Amino acid sequence: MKNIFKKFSLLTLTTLFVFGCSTVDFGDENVNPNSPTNKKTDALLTNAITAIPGIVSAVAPNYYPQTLSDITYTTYSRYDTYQWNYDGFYTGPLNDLKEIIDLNTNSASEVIAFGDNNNQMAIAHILQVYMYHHMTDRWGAIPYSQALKGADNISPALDQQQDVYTGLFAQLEAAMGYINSSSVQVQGDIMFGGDMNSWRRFANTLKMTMALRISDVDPSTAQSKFTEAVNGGVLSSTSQNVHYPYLTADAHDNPWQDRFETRNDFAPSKKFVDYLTANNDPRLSKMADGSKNSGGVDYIGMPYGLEDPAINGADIASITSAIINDGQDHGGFLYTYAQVCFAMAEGHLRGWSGLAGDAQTWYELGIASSHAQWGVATADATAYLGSVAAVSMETMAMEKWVALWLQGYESWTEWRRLDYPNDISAPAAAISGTGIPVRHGYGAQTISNNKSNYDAAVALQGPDTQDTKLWWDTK
Amino acid sequence: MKTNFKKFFTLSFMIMFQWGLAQTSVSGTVSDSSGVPLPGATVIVAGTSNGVTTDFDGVYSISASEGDVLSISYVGFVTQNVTIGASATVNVSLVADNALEEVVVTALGISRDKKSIGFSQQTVAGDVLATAKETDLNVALTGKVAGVQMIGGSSSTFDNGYLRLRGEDNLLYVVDGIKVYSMTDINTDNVESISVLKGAAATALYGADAQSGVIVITSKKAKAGESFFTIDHSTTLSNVSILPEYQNEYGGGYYQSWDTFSYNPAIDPSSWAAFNGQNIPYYAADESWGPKLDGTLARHWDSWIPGHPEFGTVRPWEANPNNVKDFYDTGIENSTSLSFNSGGEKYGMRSSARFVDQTLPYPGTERNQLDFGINQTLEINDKLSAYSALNIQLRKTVNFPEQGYGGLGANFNQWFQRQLDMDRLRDNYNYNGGIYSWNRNSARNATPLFWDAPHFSVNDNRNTQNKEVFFGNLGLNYQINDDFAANVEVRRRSNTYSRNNRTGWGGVNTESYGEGRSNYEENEFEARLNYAKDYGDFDVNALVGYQVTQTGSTSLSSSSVGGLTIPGFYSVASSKDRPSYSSTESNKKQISTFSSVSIGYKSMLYLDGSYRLDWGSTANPDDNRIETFGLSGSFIFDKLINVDAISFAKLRAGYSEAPVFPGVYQTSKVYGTGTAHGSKPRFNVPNTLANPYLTGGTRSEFEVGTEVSFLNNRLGFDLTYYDRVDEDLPISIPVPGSTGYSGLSINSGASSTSGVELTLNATPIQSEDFRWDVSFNIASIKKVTDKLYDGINSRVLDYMSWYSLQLQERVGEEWGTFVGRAPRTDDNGTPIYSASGRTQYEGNQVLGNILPDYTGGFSTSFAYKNWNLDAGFDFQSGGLFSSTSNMFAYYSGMHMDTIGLNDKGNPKRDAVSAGGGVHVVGVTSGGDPVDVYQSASTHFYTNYFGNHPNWLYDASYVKLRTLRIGYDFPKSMLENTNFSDINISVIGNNLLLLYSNIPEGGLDPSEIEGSGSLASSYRSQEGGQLPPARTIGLNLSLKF
Repeated sequence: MKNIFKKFSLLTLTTLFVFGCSTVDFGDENVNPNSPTNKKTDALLTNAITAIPGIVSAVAPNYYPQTLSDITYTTYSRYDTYQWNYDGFYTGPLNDLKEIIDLNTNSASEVIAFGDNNNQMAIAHILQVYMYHHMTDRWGAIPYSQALKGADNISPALDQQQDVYTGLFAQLEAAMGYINSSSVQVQGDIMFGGDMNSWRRFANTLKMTMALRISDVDPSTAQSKFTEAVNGGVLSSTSQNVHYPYLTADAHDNPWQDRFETRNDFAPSKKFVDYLTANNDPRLSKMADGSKNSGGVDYIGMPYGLEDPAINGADIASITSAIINDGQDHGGFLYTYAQVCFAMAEGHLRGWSGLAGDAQTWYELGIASSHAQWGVATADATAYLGSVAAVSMETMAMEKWVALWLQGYESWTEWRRLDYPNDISAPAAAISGTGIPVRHGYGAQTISNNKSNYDAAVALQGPDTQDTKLWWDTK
Repeated sequence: MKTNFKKFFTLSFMIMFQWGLAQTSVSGTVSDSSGVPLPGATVIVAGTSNGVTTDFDGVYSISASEGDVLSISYVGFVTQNVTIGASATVNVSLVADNALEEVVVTALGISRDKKSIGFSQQTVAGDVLATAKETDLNVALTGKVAGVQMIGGSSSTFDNGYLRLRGEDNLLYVVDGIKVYSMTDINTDNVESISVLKGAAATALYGADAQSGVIVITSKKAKAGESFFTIDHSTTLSNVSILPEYQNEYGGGYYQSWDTFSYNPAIDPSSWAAFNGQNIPYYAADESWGPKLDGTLARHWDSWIPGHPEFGTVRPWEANPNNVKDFYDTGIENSTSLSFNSGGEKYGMRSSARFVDQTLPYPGTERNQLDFGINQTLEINDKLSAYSALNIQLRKTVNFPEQGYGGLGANFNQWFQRQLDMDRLRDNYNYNGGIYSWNRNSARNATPLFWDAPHFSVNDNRNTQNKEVFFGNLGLNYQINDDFAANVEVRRRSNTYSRNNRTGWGGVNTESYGEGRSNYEENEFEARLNYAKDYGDFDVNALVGYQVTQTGSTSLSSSSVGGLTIPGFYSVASSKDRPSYSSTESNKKQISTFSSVSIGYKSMLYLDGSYRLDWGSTANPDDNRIETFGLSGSFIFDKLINVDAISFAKLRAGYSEAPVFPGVYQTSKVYGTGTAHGSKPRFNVPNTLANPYLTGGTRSEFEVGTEVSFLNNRLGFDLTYYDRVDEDLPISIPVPGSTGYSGLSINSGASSTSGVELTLNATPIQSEDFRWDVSFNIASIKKVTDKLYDGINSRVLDYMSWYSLQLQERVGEEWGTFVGRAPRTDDNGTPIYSASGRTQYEGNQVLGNILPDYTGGFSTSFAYKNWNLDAGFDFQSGGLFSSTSNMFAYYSGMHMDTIGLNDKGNPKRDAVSAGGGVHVVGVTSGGDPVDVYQSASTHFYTNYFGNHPNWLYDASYVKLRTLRIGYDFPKSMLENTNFSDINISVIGNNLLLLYSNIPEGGLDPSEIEGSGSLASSYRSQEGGQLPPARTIGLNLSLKF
């Protein structure tokens, strides 16, 4: 018995000793050697800017004003996708920009190596406004004031578009207030290389564009913001056109080049090509190439939105090879001087006072700038100018429609606002909706992940379809 | 001591085998008390290493002298000792030991009496596994274990079988105590037996790694008194067995009218003027809505190859119904195993080698494999013994077939031109240094638009993989005294994969080259103290142990970007743009202690407890300990009820709790990186918010079961019910992306699984010459998601294609729910269409469940004199998977259903205005009637593309998987030879799909690909499944 007891206690003691510890110190076994933790705001800025091609070189928005057609698979131009997800903006560049702002606020001394703190914050805010503006013009109501709060608010409300615009103007003006002439240059800025004057010009051009958008629904605010922006300094020449810095390397090259690398899916639409041909517009040969089967001679546009096209791609004009084969310096425009000129012309046409020049002059400057942008010789541009009709909202809008070729979202948004061309309509074989889309529907993820806020926003804004007009789209 | 150590080391390096040194030959028959012969009984000359086993007839023959004692033993019977007298014939009759003394292997390699176990455990014998010489262990286990579901990869590829046990798929495989990295590291010819431990109570001693089940493999070892050498060779041929139902009436194109060539003097050579007016197929189309295959003369794709003798010629536009079948070859596999076994009273040694050479039906593929293993035990003195094992595998694979959407499976079944001649494709795709495809852009432009010629993928897009595996152990056992024994063991495993892959020049995709190497290793040290003692009616076994495990992995990969600069030369160094490079490393460490106690009372009542503590480095350093415990009991009640027919009856019950550690590096916040923009680096804030307080979650499982056997084991069944609850699982909860994150890792989430498992064994006929055994198992499973997070009722497990089909967890529904869009119908069930007959869809519909309702198998074997027939069937009822192949076969006009006559008696593909088209009848959403004819090409895409319910197939099936017909050469024939056993058999694998429920045909639902674009680790979708293959061959095994 004693022996047994001894043996049992030995067992128990060993067990207790061995089982007694509650934690074991493993040192730095669990430090991840694969990913970095150092706070490089320059790398975060570069990453945020690399989200811009998704905005400026997107395919889909080119369909709606019907400047672009599909050749074989026409479901995209017939609006088969009606739910679009905005989550990628929030989890991607917007969160990166927020991180830059937070680091410059809370850990300012640790990140000053990458640029003056205030300038870094200015750039981050300006880019946030640019992206939020893009998003609200697509969807309407979006999470803005309650967004990007992580675990602190896992159910962000969607702000109505009017409130978003108010907030964006305020954020943009505050951002411009941060800009200063510090000599500590901002690193990682692949757009402007840290040149704050360029950022100020960009911000004002953005502000001017935003002001024009609300010109029908809130003319007085629109006019005052427009005037402030112009006085603050907008783009002033074609050489100041803002475009995304594509590289030749595969990872950051022009998406149009990738799309045509092994496939031939897109072509200028028949309406676009016919319009340019009818007006003897010298930009046609710069914007598109003639069909392969005619040896590049015939400019035949692709009819838009056919269900069973049955047309050989080699019989159609194609997007100019300068873009689809090289693309580095072509396309990917955020804002152009032509847009600024047309905006100024429009300001005059609306009767806003305090603006320099007059509508006709700005209108002609805009056309000339667009020709220069596309590489047309000055003599041909001048000849074309001689043949255009006088400026009016319609002629200015049609010229803008041409000038914004391949600037998808701007082109679509301005068509929605100005309503020219007014003779296009949804194709007969449209898959969703009742007309040409005037907004994008919310993604399935939003509907399932943020349901109560989604329902509240839709109740105020209108049904979540592509046919519900946005707040500023009163006409 | 010294001599014994020398012996030990000498043995380690020598391969020994003994020929029987003859004195006189003593022979006889060993049978049971009713005279039925016992094959495989062991007969040893006591005190020597001289031993044999009885053959099928129970006959043995051994060299011994008068006065020697023969020791005859057999599992389930009392061992007998017989002294050899003057007669050279000694027949022995053994008495059965009715107490079912089957010994099984349980957690941590502990051998237990089957009767004393309180949890569900099933043994599969090694020779059952080797019936059809299947080298994939998972496939060999199919249908043999209740509760195991096997989903094959395509059997015309190198893909492995995928197992789920009680709905979970991360099973642990342990070979002789060593946790192997991959099931493919195991040489199936070396398996003595497999013990499947199913529930948490069974696996508690293994800790967190084993919570989904453990497959414990015991390797063959030399037994005392045996000394023999075996050669086992099999050669099998493999051919594709099921192909889709292709249509052969219309060829490639988007429309049926012919385009013609129009000679353009501005760009064409003058000799081309003769081509004017020739019929030109729409080469760039990868669909088959083209012209009728009526023999019209046309310029096929290979009539445009410059310098080719057939340049410029027209040929008839006609059907090639067997073109896809002609692509595949007959695969051949040769497998040769050798083993040397030698055992005596104080030592045992077995070494083996297996060589496998294999080619698949998919051309251009090859695999060479060498498995080498050696294990040995040595008694150093009467207290101390040592053992060690070493296993090595070297495997080289050339050209894993590309699967999924984008591979040739997708090409042939979804995007192809039906008239293409496979021989011409093979012979002409590479002509005079140029690469040509059938999918040219146009007559004048040879650049392929979507697809390369199939043999370009086979010959020019190559990949190679080398795999090296090492696993082994070394241990010592020390018997301290009668009650205590100690054991220490070190183990190591190391797996290295190195691969390179390339995309050839001249194809659709940019040429590229990539290579990589990864290594996974684990070192483990374990020490144990065992205690065993009887206290009157009680017998007590206890054990206490300590374990330290270090696991690490490294991986390196790099590939070219943007193309290669030197034609024909494949290297990352010649990348056009800066090559991509990635290198990762991970390490973790675990310290554990474990103990178990089992108490038996009068061999009738048993109680078992086990308890384990693990400290892991991946957890929060302030709280890095987890406890696993299991409790089970069994009650043997056949002696209480005392019915003659019932030879054994047992009731068992168990309960266990097992938590898990979080994955490596999940608790700390880092930035992600992207490809640099020029020279500027990119960081991003990751989409999942790291949670420093993340724990692993807990599983608790309750199990109850009963085992009864009748009529001396002629009939028996094992019935188990289990109920498992998983709580506080670390999951990434989806949050609205507008928070800046798409997921937060938190501990929430609960699910429960329950099921019933039944195994039945019977020997309906047993007589002197003939024996018939059957074995049947079936299991049901139901896994339900109980909770995710407050306010969150669904979580996407897998985003699938097309049109947002998703696999979700939904609170209150079975785990693995398919959610997608379904065609709308009105209240009467009439389908709703647009005015033009286009299907209207309703999104966010629950469409079914991925887990089956029942799985199981049936095996039967007949033995008549020297002949054997073994057959294995397996089945599944319920479960769904999504098929891309048939959906696009409709879309592209490839499928039989897209031709034929409509309800007017006209060809569907005729123009609607000519009475063709497909009749669509229904209502619009407004209630107006719809009664139209849609053109065939519109109908089969617009009403079927993304029509999720139509393409979510029932995965139910019944299959005859294995068949073996063999003949054992009789002992009388072998007496004067050196051989003790020769067997020759015909074997077959993956033989017949007896039942499936796929309306559009063409697929084997028991095979769902796990790799390739669109394929999923959940086996929820096939993107371009390669066909199944049937294997038949011959196996010869010799023992001497």
